[in-house]
Amino acid sequence: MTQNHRASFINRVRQSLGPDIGPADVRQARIFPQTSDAVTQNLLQTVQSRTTQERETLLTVLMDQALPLNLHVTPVADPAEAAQQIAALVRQKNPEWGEKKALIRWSHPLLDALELESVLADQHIPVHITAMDPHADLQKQRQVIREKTIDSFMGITAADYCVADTATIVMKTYPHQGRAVSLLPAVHVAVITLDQILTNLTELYAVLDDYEKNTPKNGLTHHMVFISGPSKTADIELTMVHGAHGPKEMHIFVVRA
Amino acid sequence: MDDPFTTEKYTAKSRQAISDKRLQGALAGVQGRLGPATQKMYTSQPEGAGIRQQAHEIRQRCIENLDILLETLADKVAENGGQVFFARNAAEAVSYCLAVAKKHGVRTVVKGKSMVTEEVGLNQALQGEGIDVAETDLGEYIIQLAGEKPSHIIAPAIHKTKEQVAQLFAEKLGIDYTPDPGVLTQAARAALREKFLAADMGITGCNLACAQTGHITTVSNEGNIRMSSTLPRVHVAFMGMERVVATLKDHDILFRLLSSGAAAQKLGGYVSYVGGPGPADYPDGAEAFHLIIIDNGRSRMLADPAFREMLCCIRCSACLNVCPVYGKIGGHAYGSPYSGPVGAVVTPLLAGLNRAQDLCFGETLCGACKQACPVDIDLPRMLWELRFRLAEGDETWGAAPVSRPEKYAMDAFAWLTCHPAAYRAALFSASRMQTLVGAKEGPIRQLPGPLAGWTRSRNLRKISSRPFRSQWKSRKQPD
Repeated sequence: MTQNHRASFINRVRQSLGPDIGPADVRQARIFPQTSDAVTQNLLQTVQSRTTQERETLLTVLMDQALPLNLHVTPVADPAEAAQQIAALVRQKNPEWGEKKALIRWSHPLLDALELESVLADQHIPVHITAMDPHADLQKQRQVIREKTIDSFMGITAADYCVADTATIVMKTYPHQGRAVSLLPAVHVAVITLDQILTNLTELYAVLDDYEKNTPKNGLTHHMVFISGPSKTADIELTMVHGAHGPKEMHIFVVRA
Repeated sequence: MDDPFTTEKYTAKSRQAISDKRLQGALAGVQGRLGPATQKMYTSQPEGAGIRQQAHEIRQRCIENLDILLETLADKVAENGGQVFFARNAAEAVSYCLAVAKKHGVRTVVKGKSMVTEEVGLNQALQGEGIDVAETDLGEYIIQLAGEKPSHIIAPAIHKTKEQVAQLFAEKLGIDYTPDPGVLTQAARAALREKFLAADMGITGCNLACAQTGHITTVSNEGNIRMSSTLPRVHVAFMGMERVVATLKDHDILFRLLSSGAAAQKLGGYVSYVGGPGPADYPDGAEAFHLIIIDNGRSRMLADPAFREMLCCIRCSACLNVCPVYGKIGGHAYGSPYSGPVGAVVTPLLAGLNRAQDLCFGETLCGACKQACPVDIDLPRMLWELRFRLAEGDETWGAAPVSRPEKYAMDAFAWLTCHPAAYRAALFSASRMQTLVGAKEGPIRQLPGPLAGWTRSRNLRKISSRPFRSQWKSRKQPD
């Protein structure tokens, strides 16, 4: 493997910065403050003390912002209603590749509560789950999950946060929750709860910064993704087309209870 | 290694572009649509009009602490199980990537759009090893099929009409001819889905790495970069060394402005944070993650106070969408992956001042790019600075004066203006001699010999037989 020149590379950068830059440890402390500033603290306070009424207002903002992005946001009373809505979608939509209709979903408490397996039983739709058994052959399980994700025409995920101002869902990455579920199937459905909605990116980054600093096990992991609507492109004469490579269609169900 | 720069053809290619009616229509379309829309997005931000200056300060603070940010980023990525390679130049970056490909037995590669991989000539090197490389951004895919180069940083195939794409897809993908962008996109979707699922390695660029958390970030609307960084066994990310910020909070303003500048969006459709491979007990994610951090001439910009500001650039292409010169000559004329005003500054600094001198002389200094820049970079100042260095010659950049006779003439003129008696004498004799070059009536339309260049595109006003100074003296002074 080619020799790594990290030390000489960094040295060159340091020299290029000139002699007046000051000692590294002093600068380090200034750039990476260990505690959150007052502005961040205030934002966190605002998020925590938000009333249901205020959250409903954010939901309205989310729905307005989602509209031009071709992102469908539907409030539902409870997980059961979300499941019914999903079942209706499954009936309406046709698979993009192949004939079979199959679903793939994360292993996640909110999604488990939908009981999709029984709701979809009368349509004879298999529901695959991206759960991993730590005691079995991991490589083989990955392969099977990959094939099932490819075969599924709809992928169902939860999310960690949702940003109203930009109509964005934010998903950190955990075991049992495949990244490709929100990517390979033609339809992506995200089920979130009302209390996950944040106002804007500034609030989101305050929350993420707090998570990074105060989560016992090293904060954010190897991956996180923000999604704002279905895949799109305007590369041919600036004409907007949905479904370039990722999902052609995206739905968010917001569970109120 | 293939040379990524063909800057010498600037004038010839510009001429060609100006007479290409289809291209002129496409350029007017992209500028008319994105230029004003982006300006509007800036003013709608809650921070108000000062947001671009705020973003500039963030970027400047990051650049001034680049050594620390890069070390922190590298350590954090390593903690997440990723590997970081520091490449001092293009050759090191390419050979590392080839070594990774070899180690993992890579036969096929899918790529997300990345200008820095164009800068280092990666595709040719991979193909030279017999590796199949598929560009997956729709625009990049189109130009790869056509065997061309990107002509816009964000919309690489903007120079092609839908009819040209239809023809191309009919030939290369064997589909029926149709100029419907929806059908064409679907055809590319189907062809590339197979590539994504079969690829051994995914290669992406990096928009703004985050040192605090040890992630690179990628922004796309199509989802192709997510595909490239999620599905193949190996993910290699290329990053210009300046593309790092300190904290998550820095991303707030910068992503909003990047999305506004690039496509007049509130936020790009997909923003991915990748800091390492997907661990074995996760259902997916690449098994190996390599980050290649590239200098390739950037530390020279860092060391020169006049050009350090250029490293604040986040490559959004907002300046292309307002530049009157880009709007006429398009991206190919610049002969570089970086076109428009940003290209006119950064290309000479990367490829060599003399080699790319036409680029900075070609811009107008009108200042539209500074107004459009989401991080308020003073591009006109740097264009002017480049012209100055090129006029005078500059040792640190190994630049020779563009024209020695012109330099000597200007030096002489400078001396004259500091010596009134000599100046008066010179002016007197010039006003007498100008009749010899045909300036009897009206302006001088053509100067003789080596001076002809001056009058090729403009007239020279005649020197008055009575200098301003004597006119002023004889004028009746106001009370």
